[in-house]
Amino acid sequence: MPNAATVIVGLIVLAVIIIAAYYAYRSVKQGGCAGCSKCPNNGDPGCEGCSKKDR
Amino acid sequence: MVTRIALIGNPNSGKTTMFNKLTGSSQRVGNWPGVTVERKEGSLRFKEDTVIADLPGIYSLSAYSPEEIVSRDFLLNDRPDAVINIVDAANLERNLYLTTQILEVGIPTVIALNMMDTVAKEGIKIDVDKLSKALGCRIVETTASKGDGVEDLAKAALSVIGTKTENKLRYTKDLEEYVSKAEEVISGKVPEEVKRWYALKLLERDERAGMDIDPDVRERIEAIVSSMEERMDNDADGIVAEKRYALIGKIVGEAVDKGHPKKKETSSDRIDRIVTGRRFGLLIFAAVMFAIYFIAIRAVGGWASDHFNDIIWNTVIPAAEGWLTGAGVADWLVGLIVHGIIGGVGAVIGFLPQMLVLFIVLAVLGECGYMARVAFVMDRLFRRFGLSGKSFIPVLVGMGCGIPGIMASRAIEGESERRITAMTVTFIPCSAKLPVIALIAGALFGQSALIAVSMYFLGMLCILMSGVLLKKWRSFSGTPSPFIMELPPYHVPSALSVIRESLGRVWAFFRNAGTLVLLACVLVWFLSSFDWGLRMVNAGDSILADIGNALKWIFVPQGFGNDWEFTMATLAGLLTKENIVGTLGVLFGSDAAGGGETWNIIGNMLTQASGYSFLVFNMMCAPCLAAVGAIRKELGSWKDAGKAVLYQCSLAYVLSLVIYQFATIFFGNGPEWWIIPAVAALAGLIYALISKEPFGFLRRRGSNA
Repeated sequence: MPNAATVIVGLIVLAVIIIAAYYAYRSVKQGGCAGCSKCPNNGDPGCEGCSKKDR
Repeated sequence: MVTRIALIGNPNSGKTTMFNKLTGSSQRVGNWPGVTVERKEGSLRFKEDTVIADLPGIYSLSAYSPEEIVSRDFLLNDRPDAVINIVDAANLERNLYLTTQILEVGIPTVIALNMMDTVAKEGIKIDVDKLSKALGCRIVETTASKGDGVEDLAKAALSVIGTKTENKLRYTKDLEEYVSKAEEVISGKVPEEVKRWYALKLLERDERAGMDIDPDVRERIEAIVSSMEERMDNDADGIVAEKRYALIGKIVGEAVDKGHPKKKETSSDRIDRIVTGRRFGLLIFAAVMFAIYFIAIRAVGGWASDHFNDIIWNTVIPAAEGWLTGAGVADWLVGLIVHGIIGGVGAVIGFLPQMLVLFIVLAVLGECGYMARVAFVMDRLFRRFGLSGKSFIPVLVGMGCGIPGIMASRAIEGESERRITAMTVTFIPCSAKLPVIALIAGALFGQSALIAVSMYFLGMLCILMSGVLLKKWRSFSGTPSPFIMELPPYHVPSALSVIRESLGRVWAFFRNAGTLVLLACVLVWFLSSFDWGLRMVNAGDSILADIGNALKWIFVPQGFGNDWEFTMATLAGLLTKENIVGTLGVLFGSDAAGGGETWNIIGNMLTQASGYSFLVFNMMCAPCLAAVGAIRKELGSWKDAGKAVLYQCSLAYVLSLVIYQFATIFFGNGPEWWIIPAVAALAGLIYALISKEPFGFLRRRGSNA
């Protein structure tokens, strides 16, 4: 049986991994970009990220 | 109800700067043409229900280039409520050529007479009222870079929405006769408000406009055009262009007092004589590239990265390990957090100072106007290899990130040149590849900036070689498109723009490190810590080692296939390039006492020859997954994107093979038997480059089948 510290830290790590996976999925889905601008598709108006930010 | 205002103007007239001021966005701007290749939209700062659309820079509403098609289709089909036409006041005649066409589309238009500060400096006086009267629309004086006149412009654009527009521009009597005839023929066939625009475009023999018209109407128009050409003794489009310029000349002559220019030759002209000169242009560029990487990797960036790494490896990691162990957290979880997440992501983040310095230097060079000169200088070189300076603009953009670089290839008119550029632009090291370069340069070459510079020029060589090689395929043949580019005057970069652009890239780097790199590091840690029975083992007995050992033979000829770790790092790099560093950080981090120790481990496992070969393969092979997606978008199909990836990987494989095998002769223990395939590959490459039809046998086989 794991101790309390392992369970708590384990859950935090799991949450971090799930959040990272969500954002990685979203970034890839939007044609994710590694380093140009805030817009993953360089300002494509069809991009969900842009729509949320700009409109 | 949402209202839409289109922002349109010549390339480099300051549209994106104006867009950012109007909307509060931070879209990328650049002191060279072609930064905007797609439409961008944002809400007007003080009026949420008004959307501003930033259209790509164009010189006319013809349909010669993809940007022109994007802009003209938006005006004609989407019919925005108003148009803001950004006009570079310092180059009025050329900019008004587009203005005359916009006014013919029949949408309420406001002209932003931009860059008025430059006009004042040059001693030019513009009678704005007279110009406004002659053009028949409102004009607002602006200097977008300083924010002058932006609010007035927004108010003026809002005030013209819903007003009736009447185009008062009339050309010479003879041309107007033919316009009336054409209007008569197309009356009722096109919307009334764009009748005059269609009439003029059809008189120019604009094919895309002709596609909207019935074939019988087209025939009648053709008869009118032929008669016009006969009478006016010129080509149809030449006649219309000439009359437009004649009218513009008349308007400008009446409204503009060019005064007495203070200087005949500006300081920009004097600098350009040297910087863009045949003799020194390329040499200066090579020196600038060396300086960029010297500052980023060795001097400022290297010094800062050493300190940053010191903090991560000697303070953060021991502290985290001590705290977690002290709290009684299970060993496997301590391993995951310390060696998997912090070690892997930390290995990538450790290069952040070097990347930040690179971003700042690149932003400064782009802002001040030097990068535009580089495209001009490179045009001469690229042209010899079947490409043009237009292919260099995506290369410049691709130095930050390959994806917008690939997208920027869209601005190239020639189909084959555009496809070749989209396929090859990622040969240039993007910012994600910089940590890999810095790692190998640090581990094996004493942080020499020459390693990064050599990667940059090798990337350039690969692009040029590809220009020659791919053009020998029938599907890529064609002559390079003409490259006409206006060189913007040099100016002191705006600190705010440089900081904004650099921080935007830093944020994107963090985002990537916190998502794809983190996940890959967790996976690498798991696979390198457990065996197939899910028992915790040393990395050498792990699942990852088994997979790596099964695949490492692929890179034995390249010199880095003897240790499975480098094979697995290469594979991880196909997801994102930072993963190469992250994977090595996870695999070697647990054995290392600090960042410098990881470098020592890599330095002991690889020779300079095999390390350089590892770098060459990873720089030139397929880019990250997202960039492959962008290539697919530009080439139109996964099949073509697959071919592009195969071509990139094959070229990278051959180059790293040749480089390693020849390096072992000169700097190693003498030739291995792999020198035979290396010589054969090199001979094949040279034959393909110099032979007129190296792939003829494939074509013949294809035609026989």
